[in-house]
Amino acid sequence: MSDVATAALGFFLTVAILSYVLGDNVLFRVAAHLLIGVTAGYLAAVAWQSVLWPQLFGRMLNLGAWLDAALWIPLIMVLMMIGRSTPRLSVLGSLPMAFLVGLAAAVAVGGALTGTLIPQVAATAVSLSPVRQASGGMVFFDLEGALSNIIILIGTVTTLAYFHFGARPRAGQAPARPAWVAPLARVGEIFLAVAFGALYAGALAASLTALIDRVAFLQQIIGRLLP
Amino acid sequence: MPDVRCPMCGKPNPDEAETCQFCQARLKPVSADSESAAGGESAPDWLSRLRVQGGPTPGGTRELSGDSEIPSEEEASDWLARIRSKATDDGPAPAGDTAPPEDPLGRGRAAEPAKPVPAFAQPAGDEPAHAESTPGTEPTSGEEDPEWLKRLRARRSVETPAGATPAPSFPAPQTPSKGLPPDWMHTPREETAPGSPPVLAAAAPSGESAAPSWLRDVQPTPPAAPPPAAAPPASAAAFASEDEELRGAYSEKEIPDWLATARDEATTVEQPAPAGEPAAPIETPPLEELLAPGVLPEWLTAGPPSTPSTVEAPFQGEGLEEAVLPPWLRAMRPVEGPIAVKGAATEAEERVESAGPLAGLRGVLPPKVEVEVGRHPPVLPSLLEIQPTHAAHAELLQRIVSTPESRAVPRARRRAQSRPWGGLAVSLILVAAMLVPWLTQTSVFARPSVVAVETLQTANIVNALPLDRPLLLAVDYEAAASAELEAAALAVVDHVMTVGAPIATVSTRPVGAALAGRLIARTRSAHPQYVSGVNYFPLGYLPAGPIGLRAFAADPWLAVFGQVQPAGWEPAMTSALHASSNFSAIIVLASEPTVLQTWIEQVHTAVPDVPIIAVVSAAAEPLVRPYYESAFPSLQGMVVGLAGAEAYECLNATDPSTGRCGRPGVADPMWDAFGMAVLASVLIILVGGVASLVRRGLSSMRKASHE
Repeated sequence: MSDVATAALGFFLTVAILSYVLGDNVLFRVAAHLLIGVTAGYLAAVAWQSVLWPQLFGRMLNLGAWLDAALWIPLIMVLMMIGRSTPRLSVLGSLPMAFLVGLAAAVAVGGALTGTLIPQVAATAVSLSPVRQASGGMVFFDLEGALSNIIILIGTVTTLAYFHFGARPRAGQAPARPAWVAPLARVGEIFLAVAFGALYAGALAASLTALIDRVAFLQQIIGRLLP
Repeated sequence: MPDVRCPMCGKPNPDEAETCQFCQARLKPVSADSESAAGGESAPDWLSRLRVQGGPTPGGTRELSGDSEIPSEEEASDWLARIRSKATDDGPAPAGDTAPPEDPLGRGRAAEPAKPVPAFAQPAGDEPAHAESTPGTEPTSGEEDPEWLKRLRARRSVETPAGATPAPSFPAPQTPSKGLPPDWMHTPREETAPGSPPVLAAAAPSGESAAPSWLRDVQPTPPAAPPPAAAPPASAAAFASEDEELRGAYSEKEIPDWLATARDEATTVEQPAPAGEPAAPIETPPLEELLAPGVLPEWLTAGPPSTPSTVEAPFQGEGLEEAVLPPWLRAMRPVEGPIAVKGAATEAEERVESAGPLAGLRGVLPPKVEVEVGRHPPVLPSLLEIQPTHAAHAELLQRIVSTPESRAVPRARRRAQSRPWGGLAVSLILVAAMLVPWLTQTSVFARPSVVAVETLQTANIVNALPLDRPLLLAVDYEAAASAELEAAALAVVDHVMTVGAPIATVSTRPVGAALAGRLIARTRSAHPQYVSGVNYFPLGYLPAGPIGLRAFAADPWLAVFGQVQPAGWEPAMTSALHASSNFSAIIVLASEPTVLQTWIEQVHTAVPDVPIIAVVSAAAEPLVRPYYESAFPSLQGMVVGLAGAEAYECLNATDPSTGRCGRPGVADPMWDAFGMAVLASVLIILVGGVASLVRRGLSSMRKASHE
C-alpha cells in the first residue's frame, strides 16, 4: 500500500513539475512549495538529529561533560547566534558569525592554494618539446603530447589576455585595448566559447538524463495502470 | 544625559546646555534676567526702568488695549498713582466703606481708599529720576500742533491778561478706552511712596523753563499748596476747572468727544468741591516729559513701525551668539514671495491718531493690538531649493503614477508566459524521441565499445581495494541529479560490493545521508552480505562545509560523531575511522564541481596518499577534468555522467557472446532513450540555427530592398 501511495504521490508531483512547460500554474506552485517546505523540515530534523542532539544537547545530560570546555564554547556560541533572530539582540551573533566567516575564509584560502592554484599553475608549465625521455632512458618522439602542451599554453595565455580589460584613452577615439592584447584576447574568446560549449553540452546531457528518468517513471506507472 | 532636543535641528543636547551643540541654536528662551545680565548696561534708561517696572507681557508686547477693561494695579500708570495719592490725601474714605470698582480716573467715588499703592510709587521727598535726567525738549513747532490746540492757544493769548494765572486747560487723563497713553509712555517711579505729593507738582518749577512754548501757554501755574484736609477731590477739581476753561474757549461742537464724555461723567458723578476753596488743579504729566528723546523708545521717535509686531524682537546682546540655521532648514524656510502680506503694515502706516496726546501723529501703534481673529493665516509661498535630480525624480514618479499602462505590466507578463509554444514543442519532441525506443523495444545505439581511460583507472582502483580498510563514499549531490549520478554510482558501488571492500558513507549535505542510504539499499539487493556496522558504516551528515571537511581529514570519527560511540559497530573498523589515512580510497559523488574541489582542497591535501575517484555529472566534467589531466593529478579516476555509467556497467560484466553488458544496471535501459534525446536535441539545435540564419538573411535582404 505504501508503495502505491508513494508511486501515486511521485506521479502527481512529477506531472505537476512537468506542467511548467505550459507556463506558471497552480500545480507547479503547489509542487514547488511542497518541495521547499519538506526540504526545510528535513534540514531541521537532520540538524537536530545529526548535530545538535548528539554533539551538544545530548551531552548536556551527562554531568561530567559540563566540565568540558568543548561543550560550553559551542553552547554559548549557539545561544549568541540565536540572538540574530531578533534585531535588538542581533549584535550578539556577530561574534560567532565572525568566528565562522574568518575560520572558513582561512581554511578555504589555504586549501585553494595547495589544492587548486599551485597544481593548476604547475600543470601549465609543460614542455613543448616533442622529444621525450622514458624512465628507462629511451628517447622517443611525442608529437601529440607536444601539440597538446602547445594548445594548453596558447589557451592559457590567450584566455588570460581576454580578461585583460585595461585600455588607454585615445584622443578623439574610444578607449581600446593595446594592440598586442587585442588579437590574443580574440583567440582567448574562442577558447572560452569552446569551454562554454562543453559546459552547455554537459548541462544538456545531465538534464536529458533527468528527464529520461522521469519519463521512464511515468511510463512505468502508466504501464501498470493500463491493462 | 541628552534629554533636550534642539528645536532647530532636532538633535539631542544636555539638559543644562544653553545653546545647541550642533547648530548653536538657543535652547532656552531669553528671559528678563538674562537680558539685563547680558545687555542691561548698554540699554537706554527708559528701557532699564521699564525692565525694573515689570517683565514683558506674554508675547513680548505690552498690552495697549483700549477696551473698557480696567487695568490692573501693576499696569496702572504713574499719573494714576499720583491722582490716587492726591485723592487719598485730600479726602480719605471712611473706614469700613466698601471700595468701589477701581477707576483709573477716580470717577464714581468720593475719595480713594487706602489701597495698595503701585510698586513704582515714589517715596516722599524724593525727586523722580527722570525729572533730573530728562533733558528739555525742543519747542514743538506750531505747524505740528493739532487744530484745537492752536485755537486754544490763540484764544488764551487774547483773553488772558498779563500776569493772570491761567487755569489748566490740558485735557485730563482719559480712560484707556478713550485713547489713554500706554504706560510705557510714563516714566516709572519706583520710589514714589503712597501719600507723597505729586511728583510733577514739585518738578514743575524746575522743568518749566524746558517746557515748550505752546505747553507753557496752556499749562497752569502751580498754585500754592492747599491744606490737605480742605483739598477737594483731585479729579473733580480737575474736571471742574477744565470745564470752566473749555466753556470759555470752545463751543460745544468744538469740544472733542472724548473730552465731552469725560466732562459729563465727572460732572454727574463727582461731588462738588466745597464752596470757598479753590479747586486744586490736576497734575498731568507734562508732554515734553512724555515726548523726551530719552523717555520714548527709539522706534517710536524714529517713525511709525511698518507692522504691529506681536513677537518679541530677538535680543541682540553682545554676549550671545546668534543662532545659525542649518542649511537644510534654511532651504525649507519660506521666503517672502510676490504675494506677501502687506496690508497690515500699510494700514498701520496710514493710521492717523485722532485722540489723546498723540492726536495727529501718523503711524502710531494702535491702542488695541489687532489680533487677527477669524482671519486666515497669511499664505507664505515656500520657495524650496529643488535640485535637478529631485525634480527629475518627482517628474518620473508623477509620470509613473499617472500612466495607466503601469498597472497592466504584470498582466502582459502573464500573457507572455501563458503561450510557451516553443518550449512546449521542444518538450514534446524530446519526450517523443525518448519514448520511441521503449515503445518499439528496439536498440538503436550501440553500447560504448571504447571505455575512457579515467573509467578504466577507476575500475582498476576498485579492483585493488583492500578488504581490511573501509572505502569512503562521499554522497554530495542533490536529489535533482540523482538520476544521472545514481546510474554511475550504482555501477561503481556494485563493483565495490562485488570486490567486498567495507564501505563508509558520509555527506556534507543534509540530503546526502538519505541519498546514501537509498544508494546502498538499491545495491544491497544484489549484495546482501553488507550489514550496517560490520562492512557498511553510515557516518551520516558532516556539517560546516570546508571546515568540517578539514576536521574530517584530521579525525573522521570525531568530526562526525564527536564523543558519541555508535553501538554494535565493528571495533576494528571503528578504530580505522579515527584517521582519514586509513581509508583505502575516497569516492566522491558530486553534481557540482565546487563540491569536488572542496574535497580535493581540504582532504586530498591532508591525505595525498589516499586516491580520490570522482563520480560526477556531465555538467561538471569540464571543470573537474583539469584535476585529473594535470601533470600533478588530484584525481585518480573519473566516471562521468550516463555515458560513464554505461561504460562501467559493461566493465562489470560483459556478455562474451554478444559483446554487450552482461549484467545491465540502471544506465543500460536509459541508454537508447538518452541517445534519441541527444539526437533530437542536436536536430533541434541545427534546425533552430538554420532557421535563425534564414531569418537573419531574409531580414537583411528586406532591409537591402528597402534601402
